[in-house]
Amino acid sequence: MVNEQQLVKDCLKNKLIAQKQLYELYAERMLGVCFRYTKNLNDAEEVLQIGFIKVFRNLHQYRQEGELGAWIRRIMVTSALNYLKRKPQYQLDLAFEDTYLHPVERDTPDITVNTKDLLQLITQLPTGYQTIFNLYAVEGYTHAEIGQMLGIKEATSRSQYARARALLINWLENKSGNNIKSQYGG
Amino acid sequence: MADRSFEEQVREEMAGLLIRPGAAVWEKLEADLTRKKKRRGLIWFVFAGLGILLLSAVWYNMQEVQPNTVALQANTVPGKGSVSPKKAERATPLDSNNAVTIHDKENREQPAMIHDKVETAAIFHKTVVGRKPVKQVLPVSADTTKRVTEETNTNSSITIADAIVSRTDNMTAVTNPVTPVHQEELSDSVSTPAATTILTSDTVSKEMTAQTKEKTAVKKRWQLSLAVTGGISGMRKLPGQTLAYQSSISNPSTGGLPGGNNNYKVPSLQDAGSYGITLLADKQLSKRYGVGISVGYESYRSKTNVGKRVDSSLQSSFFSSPADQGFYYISTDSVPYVNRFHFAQAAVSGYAKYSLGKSLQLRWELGLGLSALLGSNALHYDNGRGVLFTNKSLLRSLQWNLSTGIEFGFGKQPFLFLGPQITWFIQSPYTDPGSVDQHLFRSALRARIVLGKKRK
Repeated sequence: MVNEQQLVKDCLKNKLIAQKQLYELYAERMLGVCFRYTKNLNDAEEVLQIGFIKVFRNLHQYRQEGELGAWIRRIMVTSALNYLKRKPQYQLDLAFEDTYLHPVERDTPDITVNTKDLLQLITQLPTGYQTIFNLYAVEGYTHAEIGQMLGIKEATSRSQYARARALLINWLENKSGNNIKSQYGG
Repeated sequence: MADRSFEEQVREEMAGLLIRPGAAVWEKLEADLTRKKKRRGLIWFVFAGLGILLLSAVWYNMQEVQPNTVALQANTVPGKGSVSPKKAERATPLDSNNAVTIHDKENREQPAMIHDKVETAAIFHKTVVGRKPVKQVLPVSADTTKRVTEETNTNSSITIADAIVSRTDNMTAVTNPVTPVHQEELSDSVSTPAATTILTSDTVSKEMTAQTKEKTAVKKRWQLSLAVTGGISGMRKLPGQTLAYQSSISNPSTGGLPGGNNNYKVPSLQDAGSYGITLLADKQLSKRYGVGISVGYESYRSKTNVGKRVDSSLQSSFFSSPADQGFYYISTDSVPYVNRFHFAQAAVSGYAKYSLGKSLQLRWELGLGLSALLGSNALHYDNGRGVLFTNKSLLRSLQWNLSTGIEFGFGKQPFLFLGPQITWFIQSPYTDPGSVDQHLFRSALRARIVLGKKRK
């Protein structure tokens, strides 16, 4: 069992061994977070690297009150959003128009969500949908908070999420119907 | 409820998502962390160096002032009580003739008293100025010589002329015991011949001339200083006028480039931070005027608002020479972009200095500089296409600039100068045809520390 407090103290002393230990402790989980926001593993790894640099640079701000993993996760999410805003291939999709899209009301069908399928489908969503879906459904941010983070109206976030959700459920239904799961050994 | 269960399912599935990163990620991260440590070390090294430099300058300055201070405190004439520093200052200004006159009067009037003073002077000279042992000749009577020798327990001795002349050279410790012999004290001349060997005016005059020459030589030495400048820089059409672009260009057309129907706008310009570090050498030509030369590094910056970046080379037919970068920005005036100009600069300057009281000096400086562009990421603006692009080959590699400013020197012999400076580039940095005539401009604060030996 790794003593996180001691690890943080050693990292604050710029001990490379401790920094590597902290990285190894959270890298896999955080790459999962980063991958949900990007379209491929290379970009996700780039976000992970940027995120960990920020983690080590700002570790003195960590109050040791909350869970370290949650703190690092927030940094990863912020790094991913900044990365999307900066990278040309994501910029265009992130340019949300503040027009209100009527939410598509869809009840959840009787589907079983599988991690691999879900991940694949999330990364196939348009970047704007993907981002808002991740922030709301996975991270648990409110639409007001998402609006602030992305510089869009709360209503825009809400309607974009509804669209993303409907799209995802539709794909999941099709996948279930076609028994695609078997292709992944699931 | 069903909705909620969907989100919950998603959350649960995603919470367990683990992906093992490649080894290259940690390697890059490690390289970055190590580089940052090295950079931090370098920054500390530079700061420590500057700190040592500053402390050395302060220490040196204190070393220069010390003899005066001690001498004024210990300014006592046996049998006459102490002489206040003010009185010492009021003492008759000395020239070679004066020196001899006083000598004559002193020697005729009160030889014993003078001997006492000379003794005191000799002792002071040994104790106060004794950091640098000086071989001197005491042209007084044998008795006095003996007494002084015994009391000071040294072979050192001093001439009265030395004592007098040295007053003009900050050696108040030696001078003051002699100079308090005022005219009224000397008015009743006694015909008693002096027991001491009197220096002739000719001898004193020669010594004075030699010292004056030495002082002049010191005055005309080059003096090194290190200056750090920080301020705001930007682009101007003319001094005091509006920023470039904004008043001279209409909104661009929208045709020609991929990217669909973009909302093109003339990019707005803003000023940005600027800094520089300079090594200066200056030489005083007269009491008021002097010249200087300098070399250094200067970073000028400005901000341009750009739009979406497009990763594609511009067609060379758009411009007189092809863009050397594989990207350009659509001009939609939305995101700030910092244009950086890195220069190596050599300059000549002239200055005039004015004393504002005893411990404040004002210098006005006017300089002409030649700046060589080392590197830049500055954006060029194509009004016709509504795009901004980088192309270093379209920037002027050598640029002339004018600068002026005032600076205040603190202390009697200042080693720290501080004041505002303005720099104006005579030429536009852009050479692409049709570019707006604009000039780099900087208003900044400069701090300058004098290095090496100061003028006395």
